[in-house]
Amino acid sequence: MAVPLSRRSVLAGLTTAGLVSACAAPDLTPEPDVAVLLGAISDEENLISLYEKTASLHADLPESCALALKDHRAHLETLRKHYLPGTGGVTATPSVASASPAEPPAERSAALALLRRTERAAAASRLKDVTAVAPGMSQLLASIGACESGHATALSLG
Amino acid sequence: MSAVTALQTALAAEHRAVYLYGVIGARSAISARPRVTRLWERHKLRRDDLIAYLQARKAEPVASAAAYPVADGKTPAELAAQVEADVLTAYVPLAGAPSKALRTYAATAMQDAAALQTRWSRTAPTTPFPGLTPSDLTPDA
Repeated sequence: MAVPLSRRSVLAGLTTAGLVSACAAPDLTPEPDVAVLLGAISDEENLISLYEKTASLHADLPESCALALKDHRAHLETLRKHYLPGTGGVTATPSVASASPAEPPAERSAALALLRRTERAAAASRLKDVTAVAPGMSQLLASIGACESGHATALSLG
Repeated sequence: MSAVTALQTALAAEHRAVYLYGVIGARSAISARPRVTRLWERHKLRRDDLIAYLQARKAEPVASAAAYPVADGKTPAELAAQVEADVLTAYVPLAGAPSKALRTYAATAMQDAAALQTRWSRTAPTTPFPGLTPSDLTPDA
């Protein structure tokens, strides 16, 4: 029931201008999807880095941390498939999750709390993202946000 | 899929959730019933929201069935976790609706369902892309 995802959608302005007139200056403005996609990629990179650093600092993390790390790697891999390099990297807007501290606290409970907060912030960013992209990308980002919401909850189960 | 069809899909899932939370409450320990009741109320609110969205579009909301099948041999928590997983999936079409407000509504409902599924199952999400299939993830261009 999901709408097919298209990488072309992020370049709609460029491709349309190119087809209509080879002489006219093409519209190089990236679609909003590009900035949103790069923001989501940045969030996933940040989460992966935070989980990895936390795991290296705390050997006794709950299993949910390893599962979350695996899922974030899957998110990153999929999101990167939808990004065409060179299409508007400078327009990326760092989200709340991307702005979170990258260094985990030395105390275990504080480190887990930071992971929870970062997951929640990422999920909140996906709620904003869905209004700014094409339907297929919206569904993908909504699903990723749901996964992040689930992991934030799993980290609170103790 | 049109917004109306996506709304009807989500509404059908909420009708089912309202019914099944009634079953879950009846099968739960007394101490768990206040929580089940809160979640039953939450699904009723979403059901009513969806009905209002459909009526605003001059569409006839799909009716609830008289009863829904209940899986045998499941604990109340297992039943509730499955209900939430099913609700999450049912909101995916609406998350791709033309209306930005409906997308946000659907994405919020999906996040709530994922959190509740995790609470009921007491396990982390079992898939990185809840509600989607592998074929949904591949760019077509």
